[in-house]
This record gives sequence, C-alpha cells and structure tokens, in this order.
Amino acid sequence: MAYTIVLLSRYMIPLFLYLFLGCGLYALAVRSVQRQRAAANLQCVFLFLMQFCAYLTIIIRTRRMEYLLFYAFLQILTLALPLMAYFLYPGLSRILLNHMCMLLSAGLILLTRMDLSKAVRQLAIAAASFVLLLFVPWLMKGCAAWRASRREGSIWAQERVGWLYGAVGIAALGTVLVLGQVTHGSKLSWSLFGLTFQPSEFVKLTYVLFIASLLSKSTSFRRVAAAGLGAAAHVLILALSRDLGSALIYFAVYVLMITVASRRLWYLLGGVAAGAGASVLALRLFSHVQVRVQAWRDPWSVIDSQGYQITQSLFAISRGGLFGLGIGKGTPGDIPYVETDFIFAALVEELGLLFGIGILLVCAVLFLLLMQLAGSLADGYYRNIAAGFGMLYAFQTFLTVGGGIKLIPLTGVTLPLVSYGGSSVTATILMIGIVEGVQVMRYDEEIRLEKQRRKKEKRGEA
Amino acid sequence: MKNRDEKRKNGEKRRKNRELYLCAGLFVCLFSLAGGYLAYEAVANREAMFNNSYNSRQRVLAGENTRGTIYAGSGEVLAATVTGEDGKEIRQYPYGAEFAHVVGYTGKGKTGIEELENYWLSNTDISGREQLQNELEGRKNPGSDVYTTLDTALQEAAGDALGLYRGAVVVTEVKTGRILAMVSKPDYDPNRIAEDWEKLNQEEEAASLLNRATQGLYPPGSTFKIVTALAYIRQFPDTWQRYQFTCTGSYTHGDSRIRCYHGSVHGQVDLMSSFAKSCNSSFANLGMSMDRGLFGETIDSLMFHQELPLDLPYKQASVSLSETSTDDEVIQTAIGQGTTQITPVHLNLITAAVANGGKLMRPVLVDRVEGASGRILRENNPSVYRELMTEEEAGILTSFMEDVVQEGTGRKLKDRPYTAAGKTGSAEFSEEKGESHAWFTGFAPAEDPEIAVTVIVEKAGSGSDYAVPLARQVFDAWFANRS
Repeated sequence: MAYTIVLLSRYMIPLFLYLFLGCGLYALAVRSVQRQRAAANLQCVFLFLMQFCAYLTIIIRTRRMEYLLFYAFLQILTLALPLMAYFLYPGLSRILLNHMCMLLSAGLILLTRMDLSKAVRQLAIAAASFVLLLFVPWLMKGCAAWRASRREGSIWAQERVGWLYGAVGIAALGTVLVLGQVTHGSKLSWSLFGLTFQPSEFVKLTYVLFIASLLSKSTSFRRVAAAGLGAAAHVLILALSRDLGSALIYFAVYVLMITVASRRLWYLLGGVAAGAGASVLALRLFSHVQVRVQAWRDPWSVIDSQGYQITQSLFAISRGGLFGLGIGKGTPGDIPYVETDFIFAALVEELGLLFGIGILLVCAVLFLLLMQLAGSLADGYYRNIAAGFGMLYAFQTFLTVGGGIKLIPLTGVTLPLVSYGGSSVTATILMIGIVEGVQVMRYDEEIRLEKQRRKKEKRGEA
Repeated sequence: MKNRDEKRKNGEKRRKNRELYLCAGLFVCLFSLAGGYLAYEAVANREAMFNNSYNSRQRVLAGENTRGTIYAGSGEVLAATVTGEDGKEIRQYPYGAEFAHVVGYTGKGKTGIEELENYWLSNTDISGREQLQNELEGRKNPGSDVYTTLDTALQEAAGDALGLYRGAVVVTEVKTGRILAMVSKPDYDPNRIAEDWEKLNQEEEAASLLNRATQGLYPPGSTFKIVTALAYIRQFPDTWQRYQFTCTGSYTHGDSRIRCYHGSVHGQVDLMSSFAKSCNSSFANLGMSMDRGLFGETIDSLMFHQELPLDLPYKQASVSLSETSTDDEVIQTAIGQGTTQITPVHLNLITAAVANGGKLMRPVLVDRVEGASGRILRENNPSVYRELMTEEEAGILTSFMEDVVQEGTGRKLKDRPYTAAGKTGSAEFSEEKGESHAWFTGFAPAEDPEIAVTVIVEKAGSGSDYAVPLARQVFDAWFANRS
C-alpha cells in the first residue's frame, strides 16, 4: 500500500502543484473577494496534499521518524501561520502568502532530502521571519498614521526618509566592502553574534524603499537623477565588492522602477543601452566575468574547472525526465553549492521537468500578483514599492534560473524562498510582509471609503 | 452616464499603468523563454549527457540495473552480464577477441557498441512498480538489450582470413547499409581487459586497442583509382570511351616520375583496361589531363574531409588537392599515393554506393533496442544517406570493377559460383620500395550486389596476391550460407 503511494506520489506532486497554480491564476483573474477567498482555501488544501505526498515518500524511503517531526513543524509554518496572519489582518492577500509558502516548501522538500540539519535551520529562520512579517503591516500602518499627523514639509517628509534608507543601504554595503570576509571571491557577508548576514540581501529592501520614496511625489528628471546618484553609489560599492550579480540586479531595479514611476518608456531603452555598455566594460575589466562568460558559451571545454558547476547542473536537469527520478533517487550533491545556487536544477532532477516548469509558473504568478497590486494603487509611494519589489523578485528569479540552465551566464544569486540561505529567505519574507502591509492599508482605505459612502447615502435618504 | 464615466476611468488607468504592464509582460516573456529553454535542455542531448563520464548517473544506474545484452543479427550473444559465484557481476564476451573492436569493452571506460548504446544498455524499461519492487527486495532491474546487424559467420571468416596479419575487414549489406562484419587486427580479449590493460597500452606499433576499420588511416593506393576514374568520366562524359594511352612502364612529367607496379609495361590501354590493370602511368596521365578544381569536387563528393554517417568514432579521410597543387601532387593523388589517406570503412561505403546504383545507404550497426519487457525502444530502418553518384556513373564503375576480376588484378576472384567486382590496391607507405599495404574493395554478385567487402592487410605486398584471396574467403562464407 505504502509503495503504491510512493509510486503515485511521483505524479501526484506535480499534479497538486498545477492545481495550486490553477487556483492562483483564477484568483489573479477574478475580482470578487469571495471567489479569491475560495481559491485561497483550495490552494491550502493542494499545498497540504503536495507536502503530504512528498514527506510520505521521504519517510517510507528512509524509515526515519525525525522527518515526521520536521513535517509537523513545516505544516505549522505553511498552513497555521498564514491563517494566523489572516485573522490578524483580514485585508491581506492570502493568495500571495500561499505562493510564498509553496516556494518555501518546494525548497524545503529538497533540503530535507539532502541535509536535514540545513532544512531545520532554514525552517527555523523562515518561521522566525514569518513572525516578523506579522508585525510589518502593523508597523507600516503606525508609521503612516504618524506621518499623516505631521506638518507638510516636516523633517519626516517622504523624500528625506528616502535618503535615510539610501544612507543605511550604502553604509551597510560599504561596511561589508571594508570589513567583510571573503567568500567565493566576492565580499558578501558580515558576521554578528555567530550569525552570518549577507547585507546585500537586506539592502535590496531599503534600496527599493529609497527609490520609491524619492519618486513618490514627483518623477521630474531632477528627482530621477537624484535617485540615480544614490543607486549608482550602491551599484559601485557592489561592483567593487566583486558581487556583480547583485550589482546587475540593483542596476536593473533602478531602471525598471524609474520607468514605471515616471511612465516614460525611454528610460527603459536608455537603461538597457547603458546596461549593455556596462556589461561590455565589465567583460573587459573583470577577469572573473570573462571566466563566467566563457563557462557559459562553451562549458564543455572547461568541464574540469569553470564549467563544472553548470555542466553538473545540466546533467541533473537531463537526468530528471518529465516526472523526475523521485525524491531521494537523484544525485543533486554532485553540483557544487547546490542548495544555494542550483536548487532549481536539483528540483528538476528529482521532481521532474513538469514540476520545475510549475515552480517557474508559481514564481511568475507571485510576480504578477505584486504587479497587479501596484497597478491598482493610486498613491505613488506604495505603487512604487509594490512594482519595485515585484520586478526585483522577477529579475533575480530570471537570473538564477536562466543561469542554471545555461540560458544566460551564471551570476551566483539565489532563487528567492527556494534556495538555502537565511539572509535571502528573511529578506524575501520581509519583502512580502511590506507588500502585505500595502495591501492591508489599501483594504482599510477601501473600508473607510465604503463607510463614508454609506453614511452619505444614509444622509441622502434621510 | 455612469457607464461612460467608468470607461473613461478604466482608460485612464490603463494609460497610467502602460509601462507597468509592459514591464510585467516583458518578464512574462523572459519566464516563458526560461521555461522553454529548460525543456529543451532537459530533453535534447539526453543520451550524450548520460554518456558523459562527468555525469554520475551511469555509476548510480550500474548499481540499480543489470546491463543489457548485446546480440548478433541471428541471436547469438556477443556480450552479457552474468553474476559470478562471488555474487559480483561480470561482463562476459563469449566470442573473446573476435568482436573485440566493434562490440567494445567495459570496465576501463567503454568503447564500440558498449559505448554507443550505453544509454539503453544501462537503463531499464520495466514499469515503475516493478522497479520499486526490485528496489525493496534488493534485486536489480534488467537493462535493455541491443540487437546488432553483425553476422557471426562472416565475422569469423573475416577474422580467420586475416589470421596473424595486421589489418582490417569491413563487410556491409549494400541495399540496407547493415554492417555485417568489422574486424581489426591485432585484437585483444575484452574479457581480460582489466588484466591486460597496461600491456595493451604500452605497445606502440601494434596498437591492438585501435579499431583499424574506422580509425586506421591508410594511403588508398590504387583503390583510389575508383575516384580518379569517376572524376574523369564526370569531366569527359562523352569522350572518355575514346581515351587512349600507351604505357611504357613509367610516366614522367618535369621532375616527377612514377612507375607502374613491379615495373610492368601495359602497352596500349583505354580507360577500362587502365583500371583493370591498375596502370599507374595511365592514371597519372588522366590526373594531368583533368581540371584540378573539378577533380577536387569529385573527391569531396565522396565524403573526403567530411563527416561520415557513422556512429562509431572514426577518422576523416584527407586529400591535399586544390587549384594550386603542383603537378607532382596531382600525379601522386591520381594514383592514391602522396598524402592521401582513407579508412577502410570509408572505402567500403564508397564501394557500397557503387554497388547500390550510386545511393549510399546510411550504415547501420544496431538493428534495434529491445526493452526487458519486449518492447522495441528504438529501431534503425534502412534509409538512403546520400546519392554519391548517378546510376549511370555507378554502372560504368561497376563494369570497370567487373573487368578487374575478369581480366585484371583481381583474377583470383574469377570463376567462383558468384561474379565479383572490385579494385585492388598496393599502397606504398614508406620511402623504402617494396613495402606496401594490400587492399581490395569490391562486391558480389556483380549483377545484383548483396555485400561489399573491403580488406586491408598491412605490409603484406600487392593487393592482388594478398588482399584478394582474403576477400574471396569472406565472399565464399557469405554465398555458402546462401545456397
């Protein structure tokens, strides 16, 4: 009986993923709150079923009970916590939380199977971050209310706070550059109380807030240029730290954000041209870029050295087939840094091509949810935030997935929520938290307007 | 009124969010691109990826599946995995050295069919349920079996014919492209590859591990006259019948001078008798009377400097002839000497094309792959690879090659129960005179060809004395089985 389940779960796991996706797309398309709620409920069921199949397989294959315990905690994270968030803030988007949980649990399935201790760590960090997330909307509402109570043009005006975000980001990145320890040839991390942080993950958030603030009231050329100055400082420090993947993300996010905020398309065209120029320059200047480009163009000729990672990733992808080799049946450990940089290839190997494409679609829906929210907002600041985070997320996802399948050169960035890495997970969950805060405030605003309208109507009737 | 208001509002919203939606669309396109490319990478080159030695999948599968069996055309086992008394699996080759090069070996890497069909031999096609059952009960899954086109009788005859000589024999079925036999000597015993490995790798000249049939590059000698004659016919389609030459035993042009083999003087010859008697002087003259560019075109049309439709590893044939070649180079090329080099299998393919009315069939070594459940997983049906020459040209060459057997250097194949056609060659490979490789390439029956046989015997002497009798043994073996 149990064996039939293992056998079937190979097909059930992608099936539940696609059913989950179907609900997500449905929620994206409909306006009605009731229908969206129904879709969110169904998604929880499919998410549960998918995890159930996956962990049942792991437990039957390994016959070890610690996995059962882990599974129980995972259910708390992915099902109980979102529900709790919903009770705290009836206005938040459960669909968005569900997509976040789906990506988290897809990564955790693989991590559990590869290294339980890492999975436990990841789960603990994700759960702690989720608890932080619960405070974010409350904090944002408080800030907004407080700011509204201040005079126009006070020191706490949006633009000035924006510069504060910028200064914090630049200072954090600068400190890493000066003090940071060397990991994989790029200076990326900070050690504090035994925990290692990658500030560039968190600075991504302050960076988007910085640009969003500066462009909140006006998108004149002067404003865009001022934001550009701050952005350039970020990018430059990252380039000096040799973290060119992040530098590219920061640059792209700036270009995309000014385009969307100012509604001027030629910013995007100019940005692409400037990006192309900078890439050529980087190719000339940095030997480590040349190596990566070489390993992308013909990894087979350098399979022993620079091409090793990417060819192992391609092997893993080709091993999988449509439905994968089955959880625990592959050899994802062949790929160096598989948990952080190549988790997607490992997913395709063990869970199959269909599952991999499904995960890519989940990422796309998550992105579209953010963009849809941005499109529905009138306010410049919050619209900028939602769009900025959305495009940041999408760009990074494309870089890491595209790099792992040899579509583009490797940049060594993580797949948000799926990859192993505390800083990345925490930063992404906080990012979702901020977006949920925007959502909650919009909902509260709607309720307020609705109440006003009702009052007026009543008055009219009277 | 309200409707119009809403429409205006919606339009405004769309305009306001135009760039936003555009960026969203852009990313959706990028994601689709990534998804499509992912699917492509996952499916394309699956076999090549599997066979790459850096991919651990092979090792993992070797622990889960029992390697499939390789069969000859009529069902004889050529390679099988058996479990020894100690419970360990070993790969057995019942024919020992006989099929060494073409079937290959495993253990010290893989070669031959063991390498070519590694993907199928390693993978199993039984259902997931059975696989899981086997996994849990500690049994291995059966790999898929490979059915080759090889004919054990022909392979044996060819191997025996070569005996202790170094060289190679290739036999193909001309109408289907099926490779019936492929022998390379000296050989080795694949059952003992691990024990003999060091010794085999130390030998320099013998190179027993090399498959001479596909990777041995030899000067073609007079067998190249098939190519020269074809080039001449192509260039002078209306007048070649009137070609006349008086052979005095040698040909001199400027500083270069070549002789006919063994100092023979062939006297008055036309194209056909030049070919039959393998008159070097006449062919040197033919070479000089042709346009070099057109000669080169004919050479290229016969797949020199090009890829062959062959799955086994092979070496490309080469000729150095161009518009700027010196007279000496042209003369040397016309008689198959100089820097011209070809593999036995390449010459066999040209011969098979002549025999098949100019059409070269794609060579097939593996007829089909059958899963353990009896399902056919892959089948190679005969297909035309390319038309190397017109039917008319093939007909003319066939008549020339028949004449070689009836009147010329191939007379040792005359008066058999079948009529053979072919061309001999004695390729000088060193400055020292007298040392030459013996070649024969031909087919039978001439009127309705069935098989093409190519033989090379290293350092044996003339083709007519040393290669033709070997080919005869192979033809005899084939037709003995027929009648």
